[in-house]
Amino acid sequence: MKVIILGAGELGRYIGKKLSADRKHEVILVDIKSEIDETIEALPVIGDGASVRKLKEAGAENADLLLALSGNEDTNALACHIAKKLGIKRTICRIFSDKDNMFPEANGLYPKDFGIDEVLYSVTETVDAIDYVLENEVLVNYIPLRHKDAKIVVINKMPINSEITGYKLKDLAGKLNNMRIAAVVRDGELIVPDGDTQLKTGDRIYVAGMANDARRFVNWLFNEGSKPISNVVVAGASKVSEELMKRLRKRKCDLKLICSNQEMSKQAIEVPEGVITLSGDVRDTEIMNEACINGCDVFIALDRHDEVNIISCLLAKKYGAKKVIALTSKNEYIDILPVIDQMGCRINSTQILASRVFQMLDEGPYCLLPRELNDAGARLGEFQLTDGSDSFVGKCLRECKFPPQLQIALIVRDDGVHPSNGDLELKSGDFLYAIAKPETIEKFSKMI
Amino acid sequence: MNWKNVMGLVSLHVLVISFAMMLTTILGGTCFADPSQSIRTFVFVSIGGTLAGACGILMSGVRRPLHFNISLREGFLSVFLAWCIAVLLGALPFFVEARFTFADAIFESASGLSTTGASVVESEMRLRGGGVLNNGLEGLSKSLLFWRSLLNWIGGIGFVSFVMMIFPILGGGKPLYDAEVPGIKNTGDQLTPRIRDTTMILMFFYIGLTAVACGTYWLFGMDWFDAVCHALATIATGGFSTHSNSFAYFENSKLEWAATFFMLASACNFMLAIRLFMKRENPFKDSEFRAFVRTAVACSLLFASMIVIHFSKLNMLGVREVDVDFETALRTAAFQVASIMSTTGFATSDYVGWNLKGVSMIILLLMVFGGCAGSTAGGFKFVRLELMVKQCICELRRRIFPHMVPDIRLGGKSLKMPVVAQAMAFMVVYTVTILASTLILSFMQIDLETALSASVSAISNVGPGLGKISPACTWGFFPPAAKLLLSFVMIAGRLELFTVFVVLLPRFWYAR
Repeated sequence: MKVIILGAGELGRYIGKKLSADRKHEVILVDIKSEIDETIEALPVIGDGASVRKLKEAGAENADLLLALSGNEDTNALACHIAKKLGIKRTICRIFSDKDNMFPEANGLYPKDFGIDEVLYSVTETVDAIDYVLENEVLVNYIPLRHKDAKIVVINKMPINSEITGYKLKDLAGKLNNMRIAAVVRDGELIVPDGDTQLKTGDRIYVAGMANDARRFVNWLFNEGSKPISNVVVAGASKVSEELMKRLRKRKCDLKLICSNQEMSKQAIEVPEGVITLSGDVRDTEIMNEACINGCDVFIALDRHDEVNIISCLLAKKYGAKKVIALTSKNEYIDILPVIDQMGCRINSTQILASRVFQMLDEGPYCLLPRELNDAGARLGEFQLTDGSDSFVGKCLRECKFPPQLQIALIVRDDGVHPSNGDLELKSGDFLYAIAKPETIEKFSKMI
Repeated sequence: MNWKNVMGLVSLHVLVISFAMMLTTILGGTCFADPSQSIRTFVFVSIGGTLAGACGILMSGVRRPLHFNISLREGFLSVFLAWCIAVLLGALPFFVEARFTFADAIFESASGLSTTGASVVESEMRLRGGGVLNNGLEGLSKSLLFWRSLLNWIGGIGFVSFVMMIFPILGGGKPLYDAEVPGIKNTGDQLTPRIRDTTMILMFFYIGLTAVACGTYWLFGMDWFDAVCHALATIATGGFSTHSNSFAYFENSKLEWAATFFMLASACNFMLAIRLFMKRENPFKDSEFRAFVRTAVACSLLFASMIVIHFSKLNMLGVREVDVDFETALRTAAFQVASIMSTTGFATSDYVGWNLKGVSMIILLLMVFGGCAGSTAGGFKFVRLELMVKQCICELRRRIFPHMVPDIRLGGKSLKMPVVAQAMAFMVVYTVTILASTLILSFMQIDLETALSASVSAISNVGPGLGKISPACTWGFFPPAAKLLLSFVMIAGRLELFTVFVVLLPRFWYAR
């Protein structure tokens, strides 16, 4: 497939790298800046992506796909429009506004009119991701899967005295009903759980299931009394923080925003009513104390600079924030700081958006696994059953012979998401997900 | 300063007042059947004024199309001058016709144009040359009574609207509009891109509301003359009545309820009503409107319950006494509250005569608060009050969060700090003016309660006050100097102080 990627920023480079690494796709990277990453196997085109000449130069006339991922939504939309006229087959456009502002159906504005086949609502997606992990103290991350609703959520450190510590998993069947525990990492070692596995305090566990069920399950487990978060400190002025604050204000959260005066005027965001805005550097102790960081439920760092976010999160944790969330965009930073795992969750906007794009493209599991899973030598396996996989299709899970140390966590099928269940009959076209050691995954993929 | 521009603009205003006089002449000669000598002045002044205005416009060198390139200073100065000249012209009929003394004539005219509605006309009023007016208001000719109401009505919406209506080709009137229309400058208030179109919509609304009020009054039992005069005075929130006993003269509860409604309606932001009609927007979304209505309802109920508790018989204006039932109490309370809050100044009962100190204090406060911005009402305006409260809360919070970015909102929108600062400055100027006026009045041997309430009543364009200027009394007893001072305060209050005081600023007169 011939893919034109517009915008060689974090997201564009990341997707470009993944697509070109496959050897199935030709990637053309269009950017206005001349410093396009040399490590990507792609044809660089320097220039304005929203110009006819440059798009022609990039070969839009006979390309299959345009990914307009630059940081400017106007450029993206215009490029899609032009490319569609030039005859490109499919376009995906990154938009920063929300749907109601950009394509309100009530006013008859459809993406199709702009030559856009699919829209990547960048801000909305990121805010959704933050929102998802916001409510619960132990829920720190999730692994998005092919199906939009299917997720593997990560629980950071089983608390002491949890309902399920000490029990064997097979005794918990009733409580886990729609969930499966896909993996447990204990002291840096991967444990592929079976019925006899016991959960212990301090384990990091991976729960697979439908997004909403998973969250409900986690809330039920760890949020005794289930007091909703009420006190949030947000750092950094950006579209993401604006959108997030709007949502939190609707839930009657007490919000404080820390950002510098310059950022405030530069970003021109509309701070919702009732938010207390403190102007200053978020890395400043004085400001942190002024924002009552030691009493807050969640601290969310949404500055444009990853470094600021990471540092401020560390500080906030030190000053006593119950939960901290750092938004990062650079992939390089995802895994270099083991401390971040200690302190809470970090949302990587690039990965969230990339996995959404891959979901749209229906391409394999490109999502990176959390660092500690990688360290424990685990991989996430995604397997599609075809008509040829005789030893599985048409059989119940119980009858199937899986390799040892492989536990199917989820089955995604056209009609939805199913947690693995001994009585479930496999069909051709099903996607199976499992977390296991690489060699086990390899072994299994050969069996299919 | 382009003096020709100023002269042209002032001339336009003179034309407006001349046309108004012409209207009075015509009506006086035909409908009211006044004797010809009593409309003499109107004839002379209207003809003279029209000629002078026309000459002024011609001499100012403005040719068609009438487009003034008005600077801010010229806008302020011409509005200020125009109001002064209008007061003088408006006083002429009282001075020449009814033989009022100079101070009385000026006071009556200023009180009319500023929509204050405080009158010096009383029975046994001393006239120029030693004469005495015997029957008070009832002793004046119908043309003069109509003229008083018309002054109210013109002053209510302001000259600029009339100027723009009569001379639709006038362009570039924004500085005039800003100098004359009360309220804070909020971006949401302009309906159309052209200020003239906005003014036109407002004007039609104003005329329409007046017509509806007039029809309602007539339907509920006033004769045509009273209905027209009272409608003009109600919608302008002026408060000049054609009878000494104001609304109590009619002894008609339906009329009182209708007047209560129209007074409150004209004290609300006209833009809200226009939006309600044009775009079906709910006015209750507006915080100022909510605060205004809540205050009105709360005060009415409070006064009504106090009346019910304290009185079995209630004195209405005149010598009439009525039995107190709940409807009477509520009606009387609501009428006085609406009259004070809208800064109209009609009355049915003398609240000072109730001798309830709490009521008097609340009345004084309501006088200060006034109505809503963008209406014909005077006073401090609820929206400014809201701003000040929010600013105070913001400053208090800043004690806890020293780095807080101040965020004052109106209708969900952040306000720029200069707007807030302007409201604060307005409060200071407002208070200082009241205090200064009270001080000067005190030196004229006027008791504190009367002096203070007269100053507040004048600056807020209410009409009645406390003490010796209760609704049952007139302002006739003030010494001439006090009358002139209060006339100035009334005009300053109508033009929301800044327009007047900016002219007194030395910087204003520097060429640079």
